[in-house]
Formats: sequence, C-alpha cells, structure tokens
Amino acid sequence: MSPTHDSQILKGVLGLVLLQLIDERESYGYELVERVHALGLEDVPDGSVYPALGRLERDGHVTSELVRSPNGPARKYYRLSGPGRDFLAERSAAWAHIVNAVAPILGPNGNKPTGGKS
Amino acid sequence: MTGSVNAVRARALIEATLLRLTWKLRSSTAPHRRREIRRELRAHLLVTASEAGSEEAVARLGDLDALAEEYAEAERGKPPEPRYGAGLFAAIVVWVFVVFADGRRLTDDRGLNLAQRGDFDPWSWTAGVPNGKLELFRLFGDVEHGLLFEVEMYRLGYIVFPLLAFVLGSRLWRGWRRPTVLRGRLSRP
Repeated sequence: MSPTHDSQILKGVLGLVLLQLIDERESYGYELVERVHALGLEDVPDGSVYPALGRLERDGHVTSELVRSPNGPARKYYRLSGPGRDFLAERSAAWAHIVNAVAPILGPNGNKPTGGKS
Repeated sequence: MTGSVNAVRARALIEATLLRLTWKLRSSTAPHRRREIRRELRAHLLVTASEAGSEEAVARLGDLDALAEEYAEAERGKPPEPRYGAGLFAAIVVWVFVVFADGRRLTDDRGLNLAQRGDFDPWSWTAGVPNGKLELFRLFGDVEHGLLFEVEMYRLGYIVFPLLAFVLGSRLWRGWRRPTVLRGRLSRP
C-alpha cells in the first residue's frame, strides 16, 4: 500500500484538502474528486469525498448552490463560507506545525535507524 | 428506445446501490438522516454517471461497508436535532382535524326511542379548565332530541392542539441542550 493512501491519515486531512480546493475554485462533487486525484491521491474513492463534503456543509464550513447544467443533472457547487475560511486558516497552521514537528523524524531523510542491531 | 432503456438501467443501478447503503445504515443512523444521505448521494451519483457512466459512478464509491461507516461515524456523538418540517406537517394535519371536528354532530333517531325508556337529560363535558377562559373544547348531547353528541371547539383548542402537534412532531425538546460537563464536576465513564 502506498504510504500516501493510508486511510487513517487521509481521513484527518481530507476535509482540509477539500476546503483548500474549494477556496481556490468553487467546484461540484465529481470535479472535486477529480481534483483530489490530480493531487496524486488517485486511490481516494468518491465514497470518502462525498461524506466529507456533507460534513463540511453541515458544519457550516461550506455553502452549496445548485447550478443547472446543459450536459446532465444540476451540479451542486460548493463555496467556502466565512467560518470555513477561518477554520481553514486555523487548521492549515496546525497542520503545518505538525508537519514541521514530525518531518525531522518521519520525513524521507529522517526515518533512518539511528543505532542498535540491524 | 435503447437509450431510454439504458437510462432506466442506469437509474436502477444507482437506486439499488442507495438502497443497499441505506440498509447498512439502518442501525446507526436516524431515518430522516438516511433519507438526507440518500438524497445527497443520489445527486452526486447522477452527476458522476452523466460524466463517467453509472457503473463507473457506483464503482468509484468504493466499498459500501466503508462508505456506510464513513456516514455512521459522522453521526456518532451528535445529538439528534429537532425536525421542524415534520412538526409543521403534524401541526397542519391536526389543525385540519380540529377544523373538521368543530361543529361536528352525531345524530341518531334511535335516541328518540331510547329517550322513551327513561329520562335523559342533556349532558356536556368540557376539556380544559372550565372557568370560561381556558377551555379547549366541549362535547354535549341531547338524546331526547336525537343528538348523541356535538363537538364545539374553542379558540384555545385551535391554538393548543396544533401547537402540541408541532412540539411532538418536531421533537422540539431536542433543541434544548443539556451541558455535558457540570461546573466543578467531571463526568466519569
């Protein structure tokens, strides 16, 4: 299993990734899944993204609007809310702090054995 | 023709998937939340199906057990919310019933025969505090005149019964949150 696709790690950060993507550009569910895959997280199933979007909306971090489409059913576009923007800024800082803290020991050059029997 | 058959098959596949998911959520999620989840997921699946095909849309959901667990996890620890829509519906139904009941009479000519066997005084029964101010409705009858009973609804009944239906239908008490931790006291498992 690829280390980037650990579901437990991903679960904690998927909401943050979605908020960031929505902040960059309003998107609908399928488009967001494609954008998540384009980040290199190809194994993230739609079944993880849709519940996460529902949670973000219920928690008031995003709002949604149905937009008619000439190519099929109406798309539900997600937009970052004011509280969602604050939440994203706060959690992004917390995430950066964690990454900075653990990178020296868990990063690509930091997880070598430091001694003991090999 | 083939196109419409394919559209029906595609829709059937999506609905079958939604039903399977709903079945998996039956013990962990409230019925109204299951309906919301189904509606939300259906919208996503229809869009994905229009861009990638219905089979692909369903396949991309991944393992349905994992999906059900995702939804169930989001529900855990969340206190149930009042259902204002259901409350409004209940209030309207009860209001219609109250309007229907007001002035309703049940008459029976047999009452006249009955009256010949004895002395039947007119009767009445009032619901509420019978002080002329807090009365909800009154039932009364006069068997000797063939009136078994008649319902008279008072203005307070028009307010109280629909209001009661709204409170019960919406589970309004769910809106009052109790503090989870009391001041100066830690909850222990």
